Amino acid sequence: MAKFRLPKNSRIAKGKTIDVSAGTKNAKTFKVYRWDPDSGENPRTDLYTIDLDKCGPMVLDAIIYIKNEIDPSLTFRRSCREGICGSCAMNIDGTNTLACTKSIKSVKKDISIYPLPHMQVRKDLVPDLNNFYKQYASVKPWLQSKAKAPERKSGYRASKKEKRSMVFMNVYFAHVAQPAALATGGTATNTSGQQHYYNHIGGW
Amino acid sequence: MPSEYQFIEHQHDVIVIGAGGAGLRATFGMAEKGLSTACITKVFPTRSHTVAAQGGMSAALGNMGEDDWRWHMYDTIKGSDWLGDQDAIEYMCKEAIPAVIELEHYGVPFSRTESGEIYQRPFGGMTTNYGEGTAQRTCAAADRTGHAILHTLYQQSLKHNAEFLIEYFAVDLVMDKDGVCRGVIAWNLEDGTMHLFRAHSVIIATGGYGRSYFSCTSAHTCTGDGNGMILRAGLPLQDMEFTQFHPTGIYGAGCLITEGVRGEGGYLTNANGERFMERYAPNAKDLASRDVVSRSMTVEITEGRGVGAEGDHIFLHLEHLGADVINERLPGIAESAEIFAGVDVTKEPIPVLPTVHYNMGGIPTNIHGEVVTTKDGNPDSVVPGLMSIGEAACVSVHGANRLGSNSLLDLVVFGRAAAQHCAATIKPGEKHAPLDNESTDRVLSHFDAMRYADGSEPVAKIRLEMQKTMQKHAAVFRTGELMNEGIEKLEEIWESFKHVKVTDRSLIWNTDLVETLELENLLGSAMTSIKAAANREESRGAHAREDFPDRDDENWMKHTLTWLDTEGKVKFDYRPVHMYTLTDDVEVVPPKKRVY
Repeated sequence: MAKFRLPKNSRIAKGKTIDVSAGTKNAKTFKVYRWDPDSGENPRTDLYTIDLDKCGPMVLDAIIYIKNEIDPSLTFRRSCREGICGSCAMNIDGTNTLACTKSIKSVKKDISIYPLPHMQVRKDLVPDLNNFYKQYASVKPWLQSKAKAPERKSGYRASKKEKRSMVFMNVYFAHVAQPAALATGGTATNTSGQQHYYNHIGGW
Repeated sequence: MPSEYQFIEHQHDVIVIGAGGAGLRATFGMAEKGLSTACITKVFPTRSHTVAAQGGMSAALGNMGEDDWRWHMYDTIKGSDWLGDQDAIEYMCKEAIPAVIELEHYGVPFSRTESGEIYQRPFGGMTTNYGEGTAQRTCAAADRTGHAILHTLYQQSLKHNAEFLIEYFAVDLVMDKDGVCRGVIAWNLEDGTMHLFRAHSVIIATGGYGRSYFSCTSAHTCTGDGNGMILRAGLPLQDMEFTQFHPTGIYGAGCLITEGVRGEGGYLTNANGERFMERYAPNAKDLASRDVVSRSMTVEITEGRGVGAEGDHIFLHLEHLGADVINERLPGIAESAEIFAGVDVTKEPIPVLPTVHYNMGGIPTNIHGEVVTTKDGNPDSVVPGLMSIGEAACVSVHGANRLGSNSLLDLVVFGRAAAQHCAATIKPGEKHAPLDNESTDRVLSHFDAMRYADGSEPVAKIRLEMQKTMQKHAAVFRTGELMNEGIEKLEEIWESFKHVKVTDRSLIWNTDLVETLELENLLGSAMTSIKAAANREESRGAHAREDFPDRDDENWMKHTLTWLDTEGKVKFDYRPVHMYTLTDDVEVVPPKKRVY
């Protein structure tokens, strides 16, 4: 079996260990990938042990707590915090998911938090999504119709069963589950990846 | 100017700041008309908070029963507690029908009735025949309407020739010494470069400022950036005292549970299992206007009839709707309730609490989206080069309280109106006037000072204090005493911001600095909100005062304008409410007592 090693400057070093849990029983350790583009250093993983009574129940709450209370330079995307916008997609405990809907208690041991895989990292947990956006645009995701729009005031008549296979949420993790498509880097339509996610969210 | 920063200059006809529902609709509307358009957004367009809107968008299509845009207009005026401008409301309700059809033709996957028409559900405050029956006016895509609309708008925008500058943080407006807006300065988070965008019109579509409160349904990104820019430009904000508390945010998490639940037949109960809304709003009951429901819930809790161990929230029931209806029409909130409240909505009620949700106040504009101010006695003096749309703006179509499903409507109607106005008034490719360095140096110096801020107070600490102060002192029910206490605290917090500490010094993806700039914007919105609230001595819409419990049309039927200086001190002025209609199609609705 072939073994791969990352290039020298990408190898992840061991980082800091910070414990602010004050010895409470309800403590949890988070292993978080960090990389600072300005420092010239290798990426590293920091270990943060926090008191879960001091933060909300989701992994995003913990990350925000770490940023607010321990290291304000911890960088990540987040917005709605309710599982609808897709900003906080990252790799948690080995699975690509949304940090805001991933409950801390669902992971028994230390929680590993990495940026989405197979993508260049901009800083800490922020991947470069430009290629993904280009691929999305390349499938011409707007409604395309040969027939003209009907003139009736209420618009199209669509059957209740009719579903459009549009990707909602632009969540990258289903997309990145197909590294082969990514490797071509071209205008692969990746519809099967989209369909996978569409089915996953239960469609409309 | 700090020599470290070099500008990359861009020239366009128009710039839109913000890529939510309103920003996107305006952007591709203008691009479509041949204007060179750029849209600056601090998050990827589909992450804008419009994506989280659930219930729907109202329009008097009449698919589910007889309907009329005049009834919609009446409902909106009554919902606004007669502070809404009636010409703008007429325009919005009339344009609602073509706006929904346009969205439908763009590809929004609305839910459908058996006959294939767009499904419309009942919603708070929406009636037939001027208050007689319940109207089914809210066009919905299950309970993910905002998500459907925003994604469709983004897809449409990809068809057009607009440039998107994604994850650029708009730092400030560029105003020349004559008070004309000449452009925007923005910071590219990806590579740390600074950008100067020249435009003949800058359209602010930056959304609301829910994050000035501790508990809100708003995203982390709702920080009133447009409001902050306007205040720093020496311009006023309008009706800042009116903040909407949505009746049903999940207890604890604060995530939104759509009014659509009550639209589909859900209802609220107190500790006695009583459907208490029957007492407060005998006609509309649980579908009364949002401010009425939030106040009713708060009274129930204060009088000791709240549910839960602490008696501090209310139950929302939808078990009786059945799994089929819930799965078809309310799947999103079923999931939310499971994840954030551990509740199976087919079996148990959802614990809910009134939660900050929407800002009726914002940047004052006219019906075209042009920013206005009072100048030399003229209350409609247009600020050249500046426009605003969406939640950031205050046209005002929502007055003192917004009806549910009128915001998604507001976004697309005025997004389109702004595009049309720009197309009619701006000549494509017109040259830009030269700019003096002072207008830009000022902005960069401030940015640099924030970047190297080395005080004693972490951003998170100041922010939390501000949020807790607003939550306690500018809540559903207000008194002069409570608000004045809050003002004192907020003034101290304002002072403490001068000693803020930014830890991350980099220019690339420095979210520590982003949050600091956002906090500066939030403080501006918070300060004007609480001071305007203390100033208005009446109760109207969402602004309810225990010391002035009645509406006072004689003295207070007017919009408040609030200016803010760098010391946190405010100045007030007023603009009249437009008690006239746009056309002869409809008559003015004269003010009367507001009961549901």
